[in-house]
Amino acid sequence: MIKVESLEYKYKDGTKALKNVNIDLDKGNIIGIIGSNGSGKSTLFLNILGILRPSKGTIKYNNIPLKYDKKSLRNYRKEVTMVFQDPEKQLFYSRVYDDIAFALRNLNVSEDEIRKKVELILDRVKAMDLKEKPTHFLSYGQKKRVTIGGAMVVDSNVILLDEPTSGLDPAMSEEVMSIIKDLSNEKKLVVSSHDMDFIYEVCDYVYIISKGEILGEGIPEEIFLKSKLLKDAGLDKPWLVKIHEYLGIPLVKNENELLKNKLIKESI
Amino acid sequence: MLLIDKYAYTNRLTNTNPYIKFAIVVIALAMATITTNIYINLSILIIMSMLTTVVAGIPINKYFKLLFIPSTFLVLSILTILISISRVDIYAWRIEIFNYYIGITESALQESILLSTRVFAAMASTFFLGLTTPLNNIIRVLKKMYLSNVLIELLVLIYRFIFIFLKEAMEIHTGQELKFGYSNMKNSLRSTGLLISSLFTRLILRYRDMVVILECKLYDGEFKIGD
Ligand SMILES: Nc1ncnc2c1ncn2[C@@H]1O[C@H](COP(=O)(O)OP(=O)(O)OP(=O)(O)O)[C@@H](O)[C@H]1O
Ligand SMILES: [Mg+2]
Repeated sequence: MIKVESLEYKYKDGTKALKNVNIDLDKGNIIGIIGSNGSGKSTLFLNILGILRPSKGTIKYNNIPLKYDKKSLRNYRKEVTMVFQDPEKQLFYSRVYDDIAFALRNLNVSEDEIRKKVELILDRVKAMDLKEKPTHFLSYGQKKRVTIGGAMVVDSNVILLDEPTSGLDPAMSEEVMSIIKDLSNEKKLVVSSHDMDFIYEVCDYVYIISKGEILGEGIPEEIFLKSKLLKDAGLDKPWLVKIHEYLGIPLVKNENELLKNKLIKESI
Repeated sequence: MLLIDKYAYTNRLTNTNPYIKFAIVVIALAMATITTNIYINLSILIIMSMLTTVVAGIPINKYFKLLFIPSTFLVLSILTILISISRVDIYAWRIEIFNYYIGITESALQESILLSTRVFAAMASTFFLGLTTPLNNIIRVLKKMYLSNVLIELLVLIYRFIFIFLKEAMEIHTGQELKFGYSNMKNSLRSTGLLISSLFTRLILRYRDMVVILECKLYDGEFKIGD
């Protein structure tokens, strides 16, 4: 699918935001990109999306390097789309329904079909009751869900989600997490975050980025045991990994498993 | 600050057929423009205000506040028509200063009254449309009228940007106020200068973000609103 090969990106002011980045999105179904503030996650996403053009290196989609003319990019973005970090900027229309329908209308989908699709999406992101609401009345978390809906509505193969849980309360994070899990059944997802618990639970492959460089990669159960690597990247460990290390409790993927695990019950 | 938009989406006439609303407003505007009868204008004003407040349910005090904003411009321009200076006494009411007469003639008075009622009638009509109809519905009508895509695009983007502009300006202003940026005359001047310059950079950034978003949403130069 998407491969990033020796990518380098330099902003106009000289900031080298990415250095020799190699990423292969075939390694998992929900790929996590983790790194501290300013490590280059958003810059990486914008490069993958073809909005920023690499200073060096290439982005390949189905083994073909990205072309940057208008038509190719438009076609590419039917396949690969993104949910931006700041939902405020992403909402264009003032009514939730119109905003989600926007991309479909641009693809000349018939209104009947749009109605069906939008309803389906609203249901999946649990925003049915917001359908007729003006977007600027929504809470931050609701906006976030609507923007995820706006990206889901196009039948793309890949969705990049930049910090989908930042600024959300635990309940809302949980909801976004379940939306993402549900979505991953049909699409490839790439999720950036500095919320380690979240990444640990949803991702099946993780890249660690620090100061524009990939420091390490691997499946969560392994990469999160590498203390030095995480420390160098300025990241914390997921709590499930911590209790595994400190208390010797078997490593599990989420809270539910923890509660159900017989061994753990016995040891307590 | 998103008041107009908020009402457009939440009033009791939001989902009323936009073509009907549009037709009513166009007829009202045409009548106000053609007629020289102030009572017709006053009736239009009253009917439109009633439609907007009583029928659509826009709060009356907010409605008058909104009407008040353009009214200040109106008063200024009416004054220049109303009052004139002359060496000869042609006035119905006047004061005399150094052999000059400053005053109001009968015909200027009539003209001013007609003009004011006309302007208010027209304003109430457009406010009715603006406050009760979401942008998408207005576009729908304009498209049916074969307005060119360039103009519709401009309209949508201007509309969008008015909100971005106000929001950014308010954010900067609040930030400055919290840091005592407007505590005295000198500070206020400096803060206003800063506000304008940072507003400019922020708007450029917001514009760039918006272009990116539009591209991601597969926008191709035409705002489609469906039927
Ligand atoms: N438009 C820009 N011009 C110059 N430098 C930039 C620009 N945008 C980002 N940078 C710099 O590039 C680096 C990477 O930024 P980026 O936004 O990709 O980080 P991030 O990992 O997304 O951070 P966060 O977690 O805070 O969102 C930072 O050092 C940042 O200062
Ligand atoms: Mg970022």
